[in-house]
Amino acid sequence: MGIEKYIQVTSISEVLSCLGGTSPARIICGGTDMVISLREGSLGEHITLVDISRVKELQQITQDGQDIEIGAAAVMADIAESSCIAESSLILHHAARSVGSPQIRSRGTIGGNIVTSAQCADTIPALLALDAQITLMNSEQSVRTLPISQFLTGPKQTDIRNDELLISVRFPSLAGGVYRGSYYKLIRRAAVAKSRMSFALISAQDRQGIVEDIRISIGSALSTHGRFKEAEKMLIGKKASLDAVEKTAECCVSQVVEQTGIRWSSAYKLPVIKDVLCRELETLLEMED
Amino acid sequence: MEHKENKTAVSMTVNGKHIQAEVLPETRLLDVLREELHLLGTKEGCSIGECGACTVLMNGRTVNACMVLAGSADGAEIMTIEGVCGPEGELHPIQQAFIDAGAVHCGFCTPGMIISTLSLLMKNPQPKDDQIQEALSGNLCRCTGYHQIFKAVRLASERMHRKE
Ligand code: FES
Ligand code: FES
Repeated sequence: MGIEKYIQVTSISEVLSCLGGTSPARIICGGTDMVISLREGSLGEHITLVDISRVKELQQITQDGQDIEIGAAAVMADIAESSCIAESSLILHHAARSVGSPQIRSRGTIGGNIVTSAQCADTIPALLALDAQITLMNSEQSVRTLPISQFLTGPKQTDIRNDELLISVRFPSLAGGVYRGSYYKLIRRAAVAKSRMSFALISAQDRQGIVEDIRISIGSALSTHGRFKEAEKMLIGKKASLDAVEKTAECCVSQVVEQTGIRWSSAYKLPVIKDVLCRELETLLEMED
Repeated sequence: MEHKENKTAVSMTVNGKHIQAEVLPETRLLDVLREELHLLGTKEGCSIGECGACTVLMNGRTVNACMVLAGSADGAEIMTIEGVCGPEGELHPIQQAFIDAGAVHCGFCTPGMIISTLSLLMKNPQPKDDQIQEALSGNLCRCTGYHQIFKAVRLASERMHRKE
C-alpha cells in the first residue's frame, strides 16, 4: 500500500530527524483523516509514516504568561473538556466539542484540523477569531512562528514545508471579563455530518457600549479561511445598534460574493449568513435601545 | 501476508489480557481484534469513521477501531464488547437493559452502542436525554429509530444506580 516504513516516535526531536531524509515522510497522529487516505492509496508510493500520537510534549495545554499554548497533538476531547481553554478562549471549547462524534474527538487533534485546512475544519474559524499564532519547527530545529491567517493559504492548502512539523498553536488569553464570544455551527444532521458553516465571533465593548474590538470568522463561507476585516472595521469605535449590525452582516455577505462569486448554493448560503450573523451579533453585543 | 520485513511488533492489553501481534503499517486496530484475536463482536460497517459499529474503548475513551492503526494502539488498554460481561459470562446491566428495552434488532450496531453507553455511564451515571443523544451521536442504527436504544440507556442507568 505504498508504505515503506512505519516509525513510532515519542519525542519532538525524533520526529524532526525523520523529516529531513530523502524519502517522503508523512505524519500521522489521530488518524481520523490519514487512515482513510492511507487505505485509498492516495498518499503516494514509498512513504515513511511517522506516528506522533504518543509524543507527550505535543499534547500539552499550557498557560505561558498571557498566552495559552496548545500542542499540535492535543485531542479535541481534551480541548473540549479543558476549563483553561473555556475561560481563555471563550469559543474554542465549543468548536472542539462540535467536531465529529465522541469517537472522533478522542483521536482527532487540533494540529490535524489546522494542517488539513479543510473548509469544514471546525476549530479554524475559532482560532482565526482568537488571533492565533502557529509554531513550526524544521529538521534543523529552527523555529518559525506566524499568524494562522497567513499559514492557511488556500482551500486545503497551508504554508507548511516538507521538513516542518507543526508544534503548537497559541493565542492571547481573553479571560477576565471584558471579552465575550460566541460560536455557532449550522449543520444538517448533528454530529458526524461535516460542518456546513460555523460562525466564530469575539467582541469587547466599553462601559458606554462602544465596540472596542470585534472579530468575525465564518467557516465554509470563503474559499480561503479568513476574517471579515472590512466588516469588523464598520463596527469598531461605534455604538452597537440594529442598523450597524445589519450593515456589518451585509458587508460580510458582499465579501463572500466577492471571493467566491455567485454559485448554486448562494441562494441558500447568503441569506443564511446574513440572518445568522445579525442574530449572533445582536445577542453578543450590548445594544443601544 | 507478504513483505514480512515491513512488519512491526505491537503489544496491548485487550479485555485485561496481554497480547502481542506482528502487523503491517496499514493494519488497523480493528483488524487485530477481528483477524488476529478473533474477537468478532466489534463490527466493521463503513470503515471511514462514520457508523460507530467498530467502537471500542482505548485507554478509557471510545474510538473507532477502523481509524486507529494497530501501531498507534501499541501499549494501549483496549476493551471490546467481549470484555463487558462479568467473569462468569453474566450479562452486564447495560446488555440486559438493551435486551429488555427491545433495543437489539439486527444487532449490528449493538456492540458499538453498548461500548458508547458504557463510556457515558462511567462518566455520567444519570445522563439527561440530550446527553444520551450526544454520547451516541457517533453510532448509527438502521433498524430501531433510536427510541428503544435511548430507552435502554435510561433503563441501564436506573438499574445501575439502584444497585449502588
Ligand atoms: S466501521 Fe468504523 S466507524 Fe464505521
Ligand atoms: S439494530 Fe440493526 S443497526 Fe441497530
